[in-house]
Amino acid sequence: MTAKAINNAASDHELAKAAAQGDTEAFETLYERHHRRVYSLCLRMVANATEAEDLTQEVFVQLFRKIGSFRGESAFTTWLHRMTVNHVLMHFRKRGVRLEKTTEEGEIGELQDIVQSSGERPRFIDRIALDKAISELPPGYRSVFVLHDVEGFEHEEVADMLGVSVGTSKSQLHKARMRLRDLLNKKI
Amino acid sequence: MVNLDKTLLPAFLLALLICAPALGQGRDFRVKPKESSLEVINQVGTIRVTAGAPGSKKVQINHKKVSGDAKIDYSSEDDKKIKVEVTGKGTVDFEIVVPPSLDVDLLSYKGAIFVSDLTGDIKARITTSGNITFTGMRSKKVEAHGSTGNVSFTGELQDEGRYTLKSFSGRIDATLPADSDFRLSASTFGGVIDLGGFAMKFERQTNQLVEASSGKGRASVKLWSQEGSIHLHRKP
Amino acid sequence: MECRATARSLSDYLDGWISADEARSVEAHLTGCPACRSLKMELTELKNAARELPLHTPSKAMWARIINEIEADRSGQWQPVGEDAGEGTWWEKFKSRRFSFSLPQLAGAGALAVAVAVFGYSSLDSPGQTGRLNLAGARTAVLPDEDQLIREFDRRMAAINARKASWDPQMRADFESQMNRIDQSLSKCRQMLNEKPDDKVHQEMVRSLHKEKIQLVNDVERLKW
Repeated sequence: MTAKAINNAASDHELAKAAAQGDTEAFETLYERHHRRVYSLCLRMVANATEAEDLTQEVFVQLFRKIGSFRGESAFTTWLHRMTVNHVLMHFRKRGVRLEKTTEEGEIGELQDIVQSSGERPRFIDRIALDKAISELPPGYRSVFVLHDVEGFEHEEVADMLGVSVGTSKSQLHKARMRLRDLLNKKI
Repeated sequence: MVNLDKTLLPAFLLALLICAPALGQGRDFRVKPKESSLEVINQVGTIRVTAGAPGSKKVQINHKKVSGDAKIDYSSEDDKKIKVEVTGKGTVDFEIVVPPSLDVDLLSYKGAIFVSDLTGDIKARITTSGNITFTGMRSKKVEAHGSTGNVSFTGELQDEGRYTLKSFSGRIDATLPADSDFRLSASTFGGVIDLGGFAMKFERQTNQLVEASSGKGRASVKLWSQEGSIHLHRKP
Repeated sequence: MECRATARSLSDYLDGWISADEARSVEAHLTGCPACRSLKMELTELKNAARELPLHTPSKAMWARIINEIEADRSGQWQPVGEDAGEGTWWEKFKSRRFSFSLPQLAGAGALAVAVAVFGYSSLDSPGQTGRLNLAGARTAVLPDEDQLIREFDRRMAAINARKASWDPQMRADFESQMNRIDQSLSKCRQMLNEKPDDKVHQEMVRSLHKEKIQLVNDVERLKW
């Protein structure tokens, strides 16, 4: 059996241990397994392909440096995604991106849209259109939506990562969803 | 001569106008061969340089935009230093005819380079992929440097001439007359060195390096390929 | 409960963040309000769709860039006190850093140990100087002029790195993959040279490979990217 085949059968934890010893083939297998998720997460958070590429590259370089500190207490994916999110947020801070903390009423115009709603028929949401609509959200709403609804983090974790209260995280998630609904309805 | 119906003539002219860029454009320069040089910097595409008639004083450059939106600049300093430079993104192929003794310097990021029948000093470099091929050369100084592509030289060596053929991972082939008089330095890390039956006087010889002379060692031939093989061929 | 209040509670309702009492009043409103029912369905669908978004793929050259940086990073670990000297002493930084060494690096470390033994600790003024001089020296041990070649490359490459984001992705991928191939080859040759430091053939190969890297940089400068 070749080294590559052995790597492909190994768990993330085993590969991480090998990579921590300097095994770049093991690290490459981890990259092959996870790079699309990491890149997609970066892309959705920053809504810019070039920046997302640079961030993904930085995340994996950082991952290689820090992989020895992965102890296997959480899933490797969770650990990696948390590292990715932290890296993107650091990038936001460096670039001076302000994550909206406002909860102004009427900003989203929810009520009138409820009334204009198109009946009770469930509608299939085009995933590609949704992806595009996410990129049109303001950075703060986008971050909360991506972290909670796309990545599956809980509000406490989102609030912790973004440095906001749980209440703000919940409120921004709702606003993000309403804004996305508006954006998707406009495209129909 | 084609006879064209009067009604078809405008359409024909229009079609000719539209097709002109694809068919090729270019420039001609008058030069003083012993004093002049030509430099071509291409991004992607083929460069082919051939020799015009002995004693000719004309450089004819034809370019064909194959794709993309590249910009081609021509410049000349007192008919001595002609420079052709491609900028922007796109594939451009060049067909160039020069006086045989003109000095030529060619750079391409990606694409093949062919040079034939010249006697002037020649430099050819490909940054990434593409082969460099010299045929019928009688230059005194040749420097070819490929990257992943092969470098192949066929020609006659001149006394005191200097010939350097390099590629990072391509194969190097040098086809020389059997009675060539040269000092060889050939080295490779990942390939083999095949001396092609030349009777050499060895100074150093390992699997990765050969330093040897054929005849009195009048010309200098340096061949290097880090990952590829090196082959000498004797031309009877 | 009014539509506005219901709408505001819907996300929390869908995520299970409201009390049983609040949930009952939302449900009571939904029963009699088709518009809010529709909104609830749309938000549910949105929430479901968010978990099934397609994955995006970065450029094929991504791995080459990563491994390139990792390899550069590894060789950089010979210089724990570098240009980024900031707060804290070199020794604190040295201690806080995790080191992993490849075979050639270990071999280099062996050569360094011998060098230190030969020159003697007594000739070194301070721990800071020891680290700086000897660790930097270990990286360049394979060739007398290697440090100079690396410095020239690094200086010119820094200018190129600042512009690389604007390059055509395919051209950039080709460049980085070629640089990566040269680096891999360089690493192999240095490893052999570490095993036989006086091997003139490998010395010349290491020099050629450094020059090959500089040539790539030359080309890009000439191509005016």
